[in-house]
Amino acid sequence: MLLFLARRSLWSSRITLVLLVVSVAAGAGFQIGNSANLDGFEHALLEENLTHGAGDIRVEPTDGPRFREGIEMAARLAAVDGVRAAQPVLIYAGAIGRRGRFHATPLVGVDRSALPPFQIVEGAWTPSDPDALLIGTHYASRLELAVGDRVEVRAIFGAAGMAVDDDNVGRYTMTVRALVGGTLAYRAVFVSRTWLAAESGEPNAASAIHVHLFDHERARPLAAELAQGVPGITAIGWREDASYVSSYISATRTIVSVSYAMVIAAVAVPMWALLYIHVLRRRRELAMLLAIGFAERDVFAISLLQAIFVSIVGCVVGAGIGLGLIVYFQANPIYEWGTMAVRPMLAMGVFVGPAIVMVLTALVAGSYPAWRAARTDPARVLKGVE
Amino acid sequence: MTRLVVEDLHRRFSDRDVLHGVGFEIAAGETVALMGPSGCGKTTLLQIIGLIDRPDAGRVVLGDHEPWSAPSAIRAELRLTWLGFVFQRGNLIDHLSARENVALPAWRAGQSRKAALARADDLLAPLGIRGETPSHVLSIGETQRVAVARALVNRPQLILADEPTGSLDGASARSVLAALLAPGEAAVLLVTHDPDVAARAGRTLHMRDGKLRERA
Repeated sequence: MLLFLARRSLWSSRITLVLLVVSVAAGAGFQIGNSANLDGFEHALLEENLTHGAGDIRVEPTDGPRFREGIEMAARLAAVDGVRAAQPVLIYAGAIGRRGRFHATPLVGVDRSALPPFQIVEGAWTPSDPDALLIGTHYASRLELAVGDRVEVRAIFGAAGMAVDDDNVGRYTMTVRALVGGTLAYRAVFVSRTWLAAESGEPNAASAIHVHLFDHERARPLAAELAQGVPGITAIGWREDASYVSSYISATRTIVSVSYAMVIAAVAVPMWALLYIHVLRRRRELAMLLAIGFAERDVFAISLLQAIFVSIVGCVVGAGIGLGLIVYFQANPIYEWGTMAVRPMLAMGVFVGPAIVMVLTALVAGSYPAWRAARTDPARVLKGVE
Repeated sequence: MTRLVVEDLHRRFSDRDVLHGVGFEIAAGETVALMGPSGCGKTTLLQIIGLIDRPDAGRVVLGDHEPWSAPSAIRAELRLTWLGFVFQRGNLIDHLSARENVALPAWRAGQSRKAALARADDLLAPLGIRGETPSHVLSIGETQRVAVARALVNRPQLILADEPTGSLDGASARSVLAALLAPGEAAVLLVTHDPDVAARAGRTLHMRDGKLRERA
């Protein structure tokens, strides 16, 4: 009955109803789009820097530049609870060149993996092919290289190896099989780890193990556990290893909080004002309800129900607006560079969070007008004094 | 049984005594008219008895209840189930239909919506009002008839009517009075300026400057 009265009263003042709904819808729609984009930014950062980067934990030997038995170490780490994959990488200083022009670059050996530290932009990866070279987009651009081109590669092995000359530099001519991108990859060159390790004389060597986890937030505690539990290693979680990523994510979450605060203020004030004006315009009706036997709490509830009703309707409309924004920004990302594109995340949480906040905002904004409605003096109003 | 007892009622607004020691009784089934010049305190008295306005001093007893010594929730319940109020200008809710206006107190009192609307239809039919009619298109006479039906919907013990026929033509006034003064258990306290309306009551109280005296 109270809901019936609340709805009918609102419907009798359609302009007020529309303005209230639009106010909530605009707030909800904006926040949904905003949250989705910021979630997408966080996702893109993690994908770019962790999933297609150095993983959640970077494990390196405490003694020396490499694990002699890197494959075995990777297998041991892969068996740890919570670890999704452990990728051994072998890194030597190197250079690539063409027509006499060389650029210094890390030469990174990677074996076949579901989580390589790069994203293929063009071409295909054939890890078992010793002639295959994957080149970062930066060098491809500088050296004007395309897939299929032949390129000179130099690897500085340091200690004496099997197939190197007297100055411990390996000299190779290899074929570009793919162009790759990624925060770490666009200025690097990738080859088969197996081949590179063989060339260096240490077939099982790995400079580091990139450990990927199912839950990114477990990196710090797990890194501490590994450092303590596995002798001869240092283990660094991504928040410490790539502090800029951690800072970006903290900043993103702060922006989400700030935007929520702004939306709450932007919705609460007009809601409060419109509902208050609605109460003032209905004083005679409210006085009459009190006079015929409705209690003050009934009148309070009717007004508060109106606030909740418009917030729910507004959230539904806002969800449509937010979905439209998400679809638009998925097709037109707000940021795109190399392999990193920020596209909004389409997830339930992106809709539920703003909806809950809008309903709570309505409850708070509607409380004073509801209280004011319940305080209507029927005697004065019905006499025409007010 | 005495339905209403008013004892030594006082009410003051700003620096003016609106009610000054008013006291009287009304028995079950009795109809009492209240007359007096404009501004003498009739509406204020009615609103205090109707539990809409609080007296500064004095007692109001409705049956076995002393509402002004009870919590506000009790007074709301009494307004709903014990009293029926016909306001001077009808005071219907514009965005509801006639039957919805009449059904409202019954629905609030705990009847189902369907039962309350059926009760409303039963009350409106003899008054010649179509229940689906939106309230805002009703004439003044029709509005007052709907207001009377609303006041009767919960079968009150005491009906308070503030100038129910004040702005009505003869025919409308007669039909409103007929509905209001239909035989029954309810006592009626009726404010009027019209001597012909007052003549229909069992007795008449006269009010002047906040004080009451009775004439047979």
